[in-house]
Amino acid sequence: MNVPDDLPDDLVVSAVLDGAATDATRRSVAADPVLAARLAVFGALRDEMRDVAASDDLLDQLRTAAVASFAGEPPVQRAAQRRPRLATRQWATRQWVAAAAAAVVLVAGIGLFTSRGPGGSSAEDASRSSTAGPATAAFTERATADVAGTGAAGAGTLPTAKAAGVPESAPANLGAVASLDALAATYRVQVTRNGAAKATGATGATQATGAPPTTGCGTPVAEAFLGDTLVRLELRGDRVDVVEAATCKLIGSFTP
Amino acid sequence: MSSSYAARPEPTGGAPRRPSSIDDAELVGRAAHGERDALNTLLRQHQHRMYAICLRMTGNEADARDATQEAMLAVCRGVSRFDRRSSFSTWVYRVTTNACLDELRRRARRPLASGSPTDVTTRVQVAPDDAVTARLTLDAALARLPVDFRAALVLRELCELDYAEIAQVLRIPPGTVRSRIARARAALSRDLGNRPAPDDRPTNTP
Repeated sequence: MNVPDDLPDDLVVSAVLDGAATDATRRSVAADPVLAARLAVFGALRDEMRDVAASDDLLDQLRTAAVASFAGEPPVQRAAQRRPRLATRQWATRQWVAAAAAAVVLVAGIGLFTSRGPGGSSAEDASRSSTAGPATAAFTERATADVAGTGAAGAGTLPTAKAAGVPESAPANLGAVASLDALAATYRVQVTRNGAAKATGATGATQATGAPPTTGCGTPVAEAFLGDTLVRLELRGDRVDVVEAATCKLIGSFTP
Repeated sequence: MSSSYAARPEPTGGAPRRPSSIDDAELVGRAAHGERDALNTLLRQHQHRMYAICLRMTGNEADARDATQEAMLAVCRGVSRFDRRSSFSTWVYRVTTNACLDELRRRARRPLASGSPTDVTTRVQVAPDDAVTARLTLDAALARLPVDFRAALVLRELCELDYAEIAQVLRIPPGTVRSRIARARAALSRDLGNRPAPDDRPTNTP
């Protein structure tokens, strides 16, 4: 059926019939023979629509059957009716967890990739560092700059790449290190290879990250030379403090 | 025994009596805690309106019975989750309207069977009783109305919901409700032969 567009008169008459019109509107409709006739037609339609004959027996049967059906549903079946919503909620939660995990892995992966540069993994770097060459030297310079740049971004007092004798063109990337171990390993490799600074222990050999020397400054996770200054990397919660070994003075800090 | 809205005693000038929401509130609380008698009483208070909505929405008794039973079952299942943001009767009408819309969708997927609006119109020609003829004619005219318009009109005429309540049930703006009801009435009156009289009102302009 085509439904007519809004007709102002019908809207007014309809509102009067529904008790949604003002007194003035009601009076104007009552005073207008055409609108009054229209009101009567609409009123008759209403009466006709309300004239619904319904068998009480039929409705009682329907109601009894519905209540019995509901009461007779075993708990398992009722739970099953709710299960789709619950499952949807659980699935949504899993989705969020998966998305968060994927985001963490992605960030960690990007960080690891940028911290390693083009030379591969830190372990590979360490093994390659035993054989000096132009390419390795270039990588060493870049890695040194990474560490210096990290410190500069953290506290602003850590010697810059330039101060540490590293070319200014080397990238400085604070967030590029995936973990402290990776940072320490990269740092140790580069300073050992560069020769500008050395990772030291009691014997002057490269320190293993897992067994750092303990001093009154705190427990460092690594030691190294920045320029001519022996520094220690000390873990403070999520932060790494770079401390001058001789004076225990904080040079800078960063968050890996 | 059967009952009709028009034949029932009405407290306010012929309008159908709305179930008491105060009684409903108490019964809803008990029904939500699993009292079967309370649930039964609640449904009994609303069953005539539920069926009337279904009959006017679907246009035939068989579908109306199915939709009514589905609506009753939905009320049973949902009463414990009824959040009381609206009156219980408004919520029941929403559930019933949705059951009718589901029934209409199911019917749309079924092959045309007896009881469809087309058959209602056909039966009008052979029905001997004028009252029956009038009822079937109204049902057929209602069935020809777009379902959105029909729902708004049915909720207004049978459930006495105001525009705001109908808007809540159908999730449309109140202005749209007002327009749909007026247009549905105009379409029905035209379809049933009550065309608007020519505009012969006197005007102030010469």
